[in-house]
Amino acid sequence: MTIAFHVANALYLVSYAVRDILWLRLITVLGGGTLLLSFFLSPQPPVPAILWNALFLVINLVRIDLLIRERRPIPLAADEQHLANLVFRTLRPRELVRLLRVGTFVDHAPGARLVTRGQPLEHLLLVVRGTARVELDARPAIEIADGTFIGELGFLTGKPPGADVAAVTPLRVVQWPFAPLREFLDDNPELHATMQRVLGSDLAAKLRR
Amino acid sequence: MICEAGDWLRATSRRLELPATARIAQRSRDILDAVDVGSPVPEALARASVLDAAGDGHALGEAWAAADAIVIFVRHFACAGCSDHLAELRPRLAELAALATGVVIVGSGTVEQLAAFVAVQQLAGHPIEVVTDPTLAAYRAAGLERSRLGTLGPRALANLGLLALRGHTSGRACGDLYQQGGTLYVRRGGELAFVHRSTRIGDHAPVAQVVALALAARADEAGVA
Repeated sequence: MTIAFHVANALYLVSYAVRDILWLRLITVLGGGTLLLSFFLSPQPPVPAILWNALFLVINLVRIDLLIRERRPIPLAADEQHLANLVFRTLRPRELVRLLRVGTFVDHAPGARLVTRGQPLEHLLLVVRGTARVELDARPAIEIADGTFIGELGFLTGKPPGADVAAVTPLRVVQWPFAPLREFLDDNPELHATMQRVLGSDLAAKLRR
Repeated sequence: MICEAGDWLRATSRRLELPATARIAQRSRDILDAVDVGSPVPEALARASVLDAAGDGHALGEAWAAADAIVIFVRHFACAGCSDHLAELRPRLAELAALATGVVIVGSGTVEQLAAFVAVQQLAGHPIEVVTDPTLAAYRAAGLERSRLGTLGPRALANLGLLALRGHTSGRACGDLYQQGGTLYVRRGGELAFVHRSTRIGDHAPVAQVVALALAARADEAGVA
């Protein structure tokens, strides 16, 4: 019993020395298990201590499961990888997938109208593959391709769009509804900063045209 | 170092006796009512003279004469909350520069303390201007609070503890210890688009919020869908 008690505390000591939270929890679980064993081996097992330590053990096991799930590599689909390379270079795959899950992938046939000038828009769009034509007042029409945002005026200012946009080729876009996207970004400051950064780059490029 | 951590509380207790304190607070409240989002910045704020690192005077309004400007008033140059604010802002400076939005930090210490602040906060080389307003004229014109509670109150002290856990500690006051900070977003030409007036240590406008204003302004100009 005494040996098990010392081994458990030595394991706790080691767990405090490691920096990685997963290893810390793993070693703590080993320590906790050994401590429980020492309690069971004692002539009069201390029931309250056993119950508390069992609770700690369960919490740690749940957190370990979550940590392993979070660290598991996540394969990106072809379109997701395309956007990762083109727009969201700084995002980890899991973050990108979370962001993309707030929206949906939508396909448009050539000629389909995506945005009508003056009509309020409810979605932020990002061109995944294909070409779209943007027709602005008193300016020559421009064509936009993979990795370009559509509907950012509405998303950023709440104003109706100032241009017409139509698909030129078969067009695949990610379509994020404004409200859930704003809510998601408010809850995820790092992703919010990334989204602002890519929207800023997109706008700066459009201002240079 | 010019602003060393030390017996700043003793210095504070001496300042508490200054008879001007109450008068300044009253004047601040008077001007506060005149500063509203959507209206032009008050003339007193645009004309307020601030000193650059060389000690030369400039009208603060020069900051928004040619481009949008984010004007951040720090409490003082050794403030823990302001250090935390800058840690959040620093990675976004290049992005704001690309959005043609200037960033100006206004402190209230001496020119030497300004230089020390730039060095400690590693701001050299970043697209940012740092100036100082030792007379607090710009602070008053912006309607920013001057409050003992904001510096020494329980919530302020609790925030100091939290800031220390994040690695930001206050040094000896390099400027007015009771002056609270704030953030303004001023559109090119002088329209006030956003104002946040801090009420205590550690209370600052989220950087994402002012970046969003810069993005919105550029989206308007870009003529996008």
